[in-house]
Amino acid sequence: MKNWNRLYHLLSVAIGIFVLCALPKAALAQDRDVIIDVSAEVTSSIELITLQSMELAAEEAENNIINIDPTSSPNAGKMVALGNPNSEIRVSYLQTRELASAENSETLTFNYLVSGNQEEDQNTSELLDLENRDFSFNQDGEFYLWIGGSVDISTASPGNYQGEFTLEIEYI
Amino acid sequence: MIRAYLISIIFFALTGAGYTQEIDFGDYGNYTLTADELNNDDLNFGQVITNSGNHSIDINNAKIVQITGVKYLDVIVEVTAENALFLNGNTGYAGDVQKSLPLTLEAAYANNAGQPSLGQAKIINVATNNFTKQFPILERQSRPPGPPPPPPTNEFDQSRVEETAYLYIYGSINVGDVDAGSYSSQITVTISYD
Repeated sequence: MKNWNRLYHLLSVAIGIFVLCALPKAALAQDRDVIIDVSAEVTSSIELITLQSMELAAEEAENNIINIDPTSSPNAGKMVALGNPNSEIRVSYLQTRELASAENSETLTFNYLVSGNQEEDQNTSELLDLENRDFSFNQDGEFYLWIGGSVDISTASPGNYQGEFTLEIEYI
Repeated sequence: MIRAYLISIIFFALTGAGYTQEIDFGDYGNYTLTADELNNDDLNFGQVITNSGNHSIDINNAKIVQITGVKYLDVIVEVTAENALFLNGNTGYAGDVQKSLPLTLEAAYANNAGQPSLGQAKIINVATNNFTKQFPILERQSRPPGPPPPPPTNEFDQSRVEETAYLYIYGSINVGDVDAGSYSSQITVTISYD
């Protein structure tokens, strides 16, 4: 019994010392937390697919000028841009480009016109200009474009002419 | 004889596990420590395109944490972060390569007297995105350490022995063939006196 009492006292003292040693550290511990958010917005790259090339037919010329209305002509080129569904985009293009003759050094100046639509419907597409070039992909991530324009062929020699068309689409 | 043998084994075992002596002054004084975000801009990599590869935020655009405390004391900086940013911040996408962007953290600190500059920053060797670094709030000069700080009393004015160190957190992400959307994650920086 006496031994048990001794052991009990020893244990009490040991626990007391432990608590006394531990408490000041716990009381004075000063941790400061800072939370930093890391973020990124991932957008899928925009892909442009040509669905139909523009057809320039000389027989459609009026007063030596071929006009292709992108909002109605069946000869208009047609493209679809694929990207993030519902994301806003800005469409830009070079309005004037040279078409070079495949046979000689003659060139023709082509003035492009472009219209766009979320739906695959040329007749309701809107003409793009500097004030109207912000659109958005539809819910399937598609945006349709029709390419037309005009060219004066009064001084052009008969033959094939080729040229480039530059269109830029960026997320905004 | 056997008993003596046992006692000597225990003795050697105890001395073999000897400890180096260290006095953590920060544990025994009620010194204040503050950690503030110097710039409110968090680590935002902005808009990135799928499959565009590596995007970095360098030290010049790092997130800066300002640590103010007793200049004689060391602080322990513990950084805890995920190894990636996750789509919509959902950590459940850990390991899903299509819904996570690997994140590589980098860090540095500056603890020079006065206003530390980036040129004086010391790079922390970061092996993983979870790391601990100990450094004095004020860089020790090439001379023996000074006396311990005066214990806090009613006369003690901490502002007279205060200095500020700066922690820079930056890094890079790798954008592969992932789903489009918002990716995020959090870094926790815990600072305490040694």
